[in-house]
Amino acid sequence: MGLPAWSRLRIASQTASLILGNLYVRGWADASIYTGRSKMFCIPGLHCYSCPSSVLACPVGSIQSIISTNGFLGGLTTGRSDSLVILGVIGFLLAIGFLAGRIACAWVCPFGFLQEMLYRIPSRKLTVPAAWRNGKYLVLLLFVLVLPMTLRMVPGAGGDPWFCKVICPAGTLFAGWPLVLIHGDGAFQTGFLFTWKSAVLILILLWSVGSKRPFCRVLCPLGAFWGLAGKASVFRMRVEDSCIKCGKCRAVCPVDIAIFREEGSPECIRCGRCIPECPVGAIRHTAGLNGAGNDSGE
Amino acid sequence: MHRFKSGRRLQPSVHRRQGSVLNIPLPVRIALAAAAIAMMVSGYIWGDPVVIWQKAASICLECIGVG
Repeated sequence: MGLPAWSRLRIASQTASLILGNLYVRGWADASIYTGRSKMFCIPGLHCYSCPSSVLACPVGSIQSIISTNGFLGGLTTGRSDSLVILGVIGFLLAIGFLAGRIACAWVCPFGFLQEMLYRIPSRKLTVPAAWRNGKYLVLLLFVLVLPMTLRMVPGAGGDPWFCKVICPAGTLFAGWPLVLIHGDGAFQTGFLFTWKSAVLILILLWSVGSKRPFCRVLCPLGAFWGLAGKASVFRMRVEDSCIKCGKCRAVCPVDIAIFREEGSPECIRCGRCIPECPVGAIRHTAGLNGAGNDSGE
Repeated sequence: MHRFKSGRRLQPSVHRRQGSVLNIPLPVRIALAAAAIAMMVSGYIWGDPVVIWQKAASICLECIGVG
């Protein structure tokens, strides 16, 4: 059975994003990474900048590397240029979030794409408890913001990018494994951390076979950021009162939400998959022009 | 209006929505998006994007899991 046109369009977009973000294919052949100036700019998704073919920077990695420098907060207040650049990265993420919430999760992010492909593998499917979704806010706060800014393993040195270091499965998949494989064992002294990150990645890949986009829903700090900003986004999903709550929207939703119960949910990735599935046409995209400000559900 | 195979009709339901969108008027939401775009542009103009470039253009050992 063929995929609906909407799904084909989204797969095309995800594939195009994957290709455009990885134009430096030579990196795979000569075991190097791209060093061009396009890496000043971030990709709207989770994609490691140490991936051999990546031509853009990872927004989560960029935030951590900027705020973990010594004297970051002081530099921000005195207007030091290496601190002020954080406004560029945060502004980029906020702009996407305020315009369309988590839309990049659905249409751009390579790691989200991979999880969706894995979920197509026939297997026993499991739901993710709703409370687990809060995990990503903790990851954003602790591993992306607080620890890199405050924890110093070596006194006087800069902080570490803790999310990249202990969690990020995209870094392990797109950079860690390929670079270690290409360079061989001797080039990098792989130890406990590499084993740990490999285990995290394998766990998430296996989980993705059984559950819908588990990393995006439970651990992704970008999803947390865009989900929060998306509460005030211009572009959003709207459910009309003609909804019959049949649940077909949830069955096809890549993040497993029943949009009629959770309109405006920070989990919604604006993929639009539920729109053609609704038997009464009650779900639609809106830019808020119709009935703006009357979305309280009363 | 939707009909089931049995012919039974369903009345439109007025449902309570959890996790509703914030009740923010559209002009304010547009202003927020515009402010974010301005923040991004000012960050790249007044800040030093070379900081991002330097990090992104060298192999990130922490990302790989060996740093």
